[in-house]
Amino acid sequence: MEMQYTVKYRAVHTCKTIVNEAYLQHIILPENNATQELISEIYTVPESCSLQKSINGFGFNSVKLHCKAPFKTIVFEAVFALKKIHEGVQKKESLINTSYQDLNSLEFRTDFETWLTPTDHTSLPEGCFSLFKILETASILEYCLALNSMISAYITLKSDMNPMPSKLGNVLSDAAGNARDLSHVLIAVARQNKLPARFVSGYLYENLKEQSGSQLHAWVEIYCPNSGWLGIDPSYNCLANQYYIKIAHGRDYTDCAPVKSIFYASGKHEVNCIVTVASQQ
Amino acid sequence: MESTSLKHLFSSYERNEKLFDEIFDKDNNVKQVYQKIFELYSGQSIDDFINLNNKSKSSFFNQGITFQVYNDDAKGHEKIFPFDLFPRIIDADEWKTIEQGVLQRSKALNRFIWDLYHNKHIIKAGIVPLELISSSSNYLRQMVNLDPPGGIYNHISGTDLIKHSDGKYYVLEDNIRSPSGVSYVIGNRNALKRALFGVFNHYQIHSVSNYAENLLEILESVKPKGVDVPNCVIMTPGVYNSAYYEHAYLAKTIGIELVEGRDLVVENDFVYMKTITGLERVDVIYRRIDDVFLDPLVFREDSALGVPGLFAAYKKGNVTLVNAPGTGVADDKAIYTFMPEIIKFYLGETPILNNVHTYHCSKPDDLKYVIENIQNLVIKPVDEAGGYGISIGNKLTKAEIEAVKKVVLEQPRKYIAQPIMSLSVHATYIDENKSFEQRHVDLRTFALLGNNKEFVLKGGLTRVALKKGNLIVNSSQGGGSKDTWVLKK
Repeated sequence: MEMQYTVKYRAVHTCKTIVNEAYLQHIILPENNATQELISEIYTVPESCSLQKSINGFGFNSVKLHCKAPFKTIVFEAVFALKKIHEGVQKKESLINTSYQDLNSLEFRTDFETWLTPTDHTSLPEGCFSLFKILETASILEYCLALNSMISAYITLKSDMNPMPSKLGNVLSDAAGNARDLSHVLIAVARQNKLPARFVSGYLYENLKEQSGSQLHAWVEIYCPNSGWLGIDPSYNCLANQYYIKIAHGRDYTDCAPVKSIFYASGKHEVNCIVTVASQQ
Repeated sequence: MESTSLKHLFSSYERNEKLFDEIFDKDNNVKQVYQKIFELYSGQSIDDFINLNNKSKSSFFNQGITFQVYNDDAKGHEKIFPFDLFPRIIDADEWKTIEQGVLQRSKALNRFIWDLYHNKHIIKAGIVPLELISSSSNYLRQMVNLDPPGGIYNHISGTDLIKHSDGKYYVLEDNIRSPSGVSYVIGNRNALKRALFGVFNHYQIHSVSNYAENLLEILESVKPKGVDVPNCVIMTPGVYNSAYYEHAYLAKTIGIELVEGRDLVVENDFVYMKTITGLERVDVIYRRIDDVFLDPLVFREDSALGVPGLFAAYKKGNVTLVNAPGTGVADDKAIYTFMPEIIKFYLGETPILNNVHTYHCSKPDDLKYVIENIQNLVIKPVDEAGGYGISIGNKLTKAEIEAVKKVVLEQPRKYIAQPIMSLSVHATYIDENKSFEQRHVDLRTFALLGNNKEFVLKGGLTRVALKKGNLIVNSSQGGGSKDTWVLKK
């Protein structure tokens, strides 16, 4: 099944004092991959800013604004049209036969070192290392689904988006977190159990009657030997499907944060992002 | 010639028989390469020498050869680099071994870094442990599968050598992030020529002034694709950096611009320098700032030293960074242990220079040995430079030993330990005592790697631990330096 989406992204950058120069990097462009194809992109930027397309540290597309005239508020808008192809779950059946032996091989651990090494945001607190140990009687797919269900059931999803990710210890003790936090927990546990895992930033079509706008979504990709990367969302306890539009991935949120800003000014800076995703099936 | 028969400057020179003396042999005779200069210096009275010494100090002051030392209050203090008028002399055969050895290490390290950011064959072969790389803060995942222009990562290497009591050279460490000190090599030569020009008439020695032109050739050899005549610059963190003098000196002698991050701007993934006539494209940046400060959009967001967008320009192949980001993974002192295997694996050769036996505190057996034998070992943090964080076991009090044990046990991966090596000693003029005395020395060499080009500076920075018995020679720890003469065949 093919879906067509229109994604509208709006970011309002506000600074309490006048800013003379700023660089605003947005990682918001849907990637082209086997399941999605970007059709068009339109940007609206203030005249005082130049817009440049570039890449982030991991090679994903970024949109950079270089603001050279004094300002206090900058509004940046982007509209993307894209096609999404429904992959189907049948393909994932190959995961059932996956062997756990591959995960222990030096070659595998070396090839996937980037996605197996804990980061500051994906390190389990002491005492949690045995959290949800892998059971080799189940397939990797079954394990991933069970782990996803466990995190989804244990941690209540919050909609607030703090500028910086919460500490995993706090997320686990509060049993609450946003999509980014849940993804970090899933990544941490997967890596602890030798499964390569990466943080995905993207858009989610929520099929709401009234599109009031939301924020960017986050989920996880786990690598299953012989099959590939499996998109999995602990926020909604499901596999990533045709409603998930991927932008970029990284070791954790900081590698693919939607906005990174460099302000040549003093004073506090805030950014508010609103995303709407509409579909034409 | 016996030292006891000499008067004046060497009259109070005391030889410690256990130490390898660069000037005197076991029988107390002056070695052949030093005989002429020894004779010349011995003919000086103390007053004459004090005058010459003051002349050399003012030469350094006039050249502006200073460096910053950071204390606990994080404030930099500017100091003149102490210089000793008695040069170290290395004969042609001895130098040949050193030169071949450091070049061998540089080439092997370059192949090693390439492998770490590509197929990781050496890890899969079980030679270097995966955990050593994955736990290194200098391993940049952003560099994975990136091909640096010319295939070079460690364009500039500084290898620290010592001569042990057995008379053999050992490598203490390979510095391949931003090795500094080459300007002092050239400054030392200039100062010695100004003070004692006559002594040069008695020796045929290699020049060190050709470093700048070779560095420029190396920088130009790794220009980005499609660039005809590259525009090269040196990027400095600024005047408060400990090596600012060197950054300014190199830019001046090479004849290229010295820039700070704020002088550069990235437009459409190309790097430009702001000039009074507009933007000017930059193709090769010899950067003297750490990886994490290069680009606030990719690494540390609070970096005011870097350039937003610089890494994207690098990743797209539009600019070359020298040395390449992520090179520090091989600069890790824990990697040093594997150098003999690294050389064999990539070059199929036997290491020319010796390694010092090293204990990894991350290995349980090594850690146990280190904790039980701290008094006989030198404990070093794996990721520090400038002699900071080093503990020499036999100089520690009981309380200090306990404190070192505690920090090592808290973060074993962060420390290595080595036997206390007996650095060779060299006659060094000591101001306070107005005489020459034995002081420990090491040698930093400088090797350059480019695209089909390589160069080793025929000379080096001989660093001197000015405090009696001290083994730490770093300038930041109160060390001085000597001119280093490499004799022509």
